[in-house]
Amino acid sequence: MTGARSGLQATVLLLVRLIVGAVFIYASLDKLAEPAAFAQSVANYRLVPLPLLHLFAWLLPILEAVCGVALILGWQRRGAALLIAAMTVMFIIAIAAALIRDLDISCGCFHTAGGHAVGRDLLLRDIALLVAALVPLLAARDPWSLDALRNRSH
Amino acid sequence: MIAFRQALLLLVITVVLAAVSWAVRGDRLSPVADPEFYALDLSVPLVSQDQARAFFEAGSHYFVDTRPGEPGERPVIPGSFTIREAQLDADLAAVMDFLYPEDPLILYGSDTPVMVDAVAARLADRGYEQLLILQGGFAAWRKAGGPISGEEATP
Repeated sequence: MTGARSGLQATVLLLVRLIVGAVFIYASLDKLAEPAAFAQSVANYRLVPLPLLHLFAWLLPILEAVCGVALILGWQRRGAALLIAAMTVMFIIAIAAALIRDLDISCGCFHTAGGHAVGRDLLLRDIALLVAALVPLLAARDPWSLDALRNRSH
Repeated sequence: MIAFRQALLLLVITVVLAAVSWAVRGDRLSPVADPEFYALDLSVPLVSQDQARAFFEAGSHYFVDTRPGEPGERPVIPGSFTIREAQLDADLAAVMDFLYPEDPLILYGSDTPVMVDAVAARLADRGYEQLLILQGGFAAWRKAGGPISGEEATP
């Protein structure tokens, strides 16, 4: 019974890792391809100071991709989940701030051109993503991961 | 604690990858953003010099000179119409048979977009919907080697 339960937990953890990791890799692709357009998307939120705008727009998609790959592989799993959770909290704050200030902008989440307008549905989506990111962050054991493979070989 | 240590490692990897990609990519962003390009309080969006040049070569947009002064006394972007803030009604009346509210317009001034934006805002009030302001104005256009004609185009 305990074995079946831990097997189920490992399966759920693997699925969550794959889904959240894939979402972040997908989210990074257009931003990596169109850095100038993504910088404009970030600027539209009016939150990042101008001197830091390009640095932020250059780093964020790479961080999304790195964390997405790490999470899918199960390498540095908790660190990747922590960074993904932190990024998601940042997205939630940015979207909430845009809603409060009644900014009519596109979110720039997955597509730099056009894309989804900032709205409450995005807020809910990111809260769901945050909850999902907490699973690999808090899970004690993850047998189907590079981390576990490395530990077994040592 | 282990999560923070792992996160730090991933951040270092990210910074290294960012530095490498910044070094090798041709479309890298400048280290510091140009304040003019992100002047968010403008009435209409800015268009970059490269994009404006592409529009010019495609003939898809009309160019509008908003600089004060008399037309014909200065070089302009070829084919430009003149609409100045101080003479907006008269200038608009002179071109209204040629420029329609649905036409895409690129407005330019000397360099900064502030004065141009005043014209853009008034044109927007008159129903012009597709307005862009040339980033860097005529000075940047000339510096970038954009086509210039010595005389004002007559509509």
